[in-house]
Amino acid sequence: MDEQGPLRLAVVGRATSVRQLARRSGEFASFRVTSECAADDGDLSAMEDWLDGEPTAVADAVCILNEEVNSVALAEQSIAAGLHVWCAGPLTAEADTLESVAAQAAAANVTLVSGGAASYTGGARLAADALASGALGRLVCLRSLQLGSDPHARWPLAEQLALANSLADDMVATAYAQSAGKRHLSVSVSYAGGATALLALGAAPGTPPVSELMVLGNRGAFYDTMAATALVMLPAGEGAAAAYREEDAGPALARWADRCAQAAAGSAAPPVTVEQAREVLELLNYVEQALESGEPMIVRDVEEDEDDE
Amino acid sequence: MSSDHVYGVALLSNAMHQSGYAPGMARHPRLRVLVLADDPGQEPLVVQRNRELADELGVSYIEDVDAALHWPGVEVLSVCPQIERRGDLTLRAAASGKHLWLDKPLAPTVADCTAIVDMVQMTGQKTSSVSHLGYDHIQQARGWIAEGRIGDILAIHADVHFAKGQPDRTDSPPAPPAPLGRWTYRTPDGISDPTESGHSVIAKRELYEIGYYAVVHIRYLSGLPIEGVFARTGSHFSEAHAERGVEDFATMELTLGGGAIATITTGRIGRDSHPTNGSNHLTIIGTEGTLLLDLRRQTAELCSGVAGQQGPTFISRDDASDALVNHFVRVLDGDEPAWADVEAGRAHVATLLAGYESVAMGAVVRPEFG
Repeated sequence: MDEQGPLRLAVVGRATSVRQLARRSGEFASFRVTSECAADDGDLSAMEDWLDGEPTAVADAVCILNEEVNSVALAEQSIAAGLHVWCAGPLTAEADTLESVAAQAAAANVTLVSGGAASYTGGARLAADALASGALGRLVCLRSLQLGSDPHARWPLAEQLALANSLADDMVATAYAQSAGKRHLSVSVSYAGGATALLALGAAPGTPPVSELMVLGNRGAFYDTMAATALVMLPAGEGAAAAYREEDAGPALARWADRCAQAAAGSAAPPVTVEQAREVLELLNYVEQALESGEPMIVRDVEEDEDDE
Repeated sequence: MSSDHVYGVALLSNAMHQSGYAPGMARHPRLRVLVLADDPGQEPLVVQRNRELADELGVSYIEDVDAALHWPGVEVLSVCPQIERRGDLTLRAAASGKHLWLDKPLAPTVADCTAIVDMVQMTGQKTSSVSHLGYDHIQQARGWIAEGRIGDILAIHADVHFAKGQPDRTDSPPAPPAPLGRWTYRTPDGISDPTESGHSVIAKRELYEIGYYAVVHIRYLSGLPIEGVFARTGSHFSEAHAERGVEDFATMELTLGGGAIATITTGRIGRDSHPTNGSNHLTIIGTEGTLLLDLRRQTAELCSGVAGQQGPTFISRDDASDALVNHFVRVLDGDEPAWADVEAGRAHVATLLAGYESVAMGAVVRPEFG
């Protein structure tokens, strides 16, 4: 690995995502895309063949943008070759498998990132910054609506759950889910401090993809919706309402990859830790149980925890 | 009824929202407000509000509801007492056989609602409950849905918020949820109105008050019964709500008939939390198209593979209260069914009360008349 220059990235996944990341990589000093492998059909064999060669001659990290959640073998092969592995969504659906791959990465002294790219959209970053600055106060509720995504694919749901968890920054208490056939999915999560996240994914008949995010804090609110371009409302006395423009925030995948590269260089925390990624996978299982049972699932008994304290 | 008939109206109590409706009735050429009445023994603030509204409208105020029920020329009763009194007073009004304009929600219990429904079925009068269904974009959406432009409804997501009041943005842990029974908490001085509710309230149950509108929208637009309710409260904007264990914000997830689903966020979020008056936003997803409705922008946007129309339809800003009054007169004339009659009102109440039960149980609750 060249410690002085940008990390060299081999990117595999859906062609549109691969090209998007490659196109925007020049805007960041921390990485550059040196190899591209389109795998729209989910077939990763070409990438695996490439790894059988001498991948470290041209790359320091493998970036997986394949939304099939079938990349464990590729990750293990990459780690064995001495490459960092960054997967923009969940690398696997199994928490134990994630732990195993993470242990391999730690032993090989490379970084492993599983998910978190959805938290790097312009709206998500603005909301996170507003929460972190205290402008929104304590989170009361967030709502995310993603129309134009497969409601039963693990990748987009896991990414929305990761986004909710990162904004809430609190322990999950309960999870509930409903599905309208195979066309639309609604998931809700409550947190120990009382906040709620409502997430919806599904088809978007007749319309281009819709992505909305609303974050209500007890001191302000953030709206990135069809009805209002991204807005942060600040309480009176702390400044006028500030409007933000989506294009100022930068492309999500490239921002996420930039953070991964910084983590690999040791200059920042990863966009999502293995523990956080594991929590998302466990939450996915609770969502599936809620769908099967038709009842909310208790993830953590908050009242019992309080009694213990 | 002939198109020039003028209906005499008696107003029953201005404890809450009567002053928001009565001026629209008084302006309507087919309605004439004749008297305002309430039961004796009301708290001083309510008596004062009753007197002020009667003076504004130039009618008598009497503390004798029975007399108002039989007031010469009265054919219509506008019933707007405190929620706690709504079951009893509405039932008495229904028993009089007069047509009814009803504040929202209909009554505090499903049993109260059922008694009212039974009485109305026996006497046969017309009824109409208050709602936001008078907005043109809602009626436009209803028409598009009826025409099949978005196919079968899969999901509805509703955000109905009131950006009113200056909450103290509490970080205190809330008190345990208070039992149902008391719905409204007045300010000690009986004058100030920190929630900007219009009737001097320091705290009230906002799932019941504001969530009502979302439930009405979902039920009206989908035409589907509500078969399951899961609700959450527990995070607050206002200390006055938190310390009383009364919600100022809630989420609800509804299971609709036919396998459709709906979600709601609702509450009083404070005037600084939204650029206008608070979100009033509906996303309706069908098998063939999507509807995006926004009250604050007054838009109804149809995206459909079925319809030729694309892009937002901007609706001229109207007065929904006037639209509701106009609709009520057409209902009285027998020209159209009510958008929300007492049976619908019972379904709304049953759904909202199922929400409270769900919060208490942490489980999905099936409303009796959803």
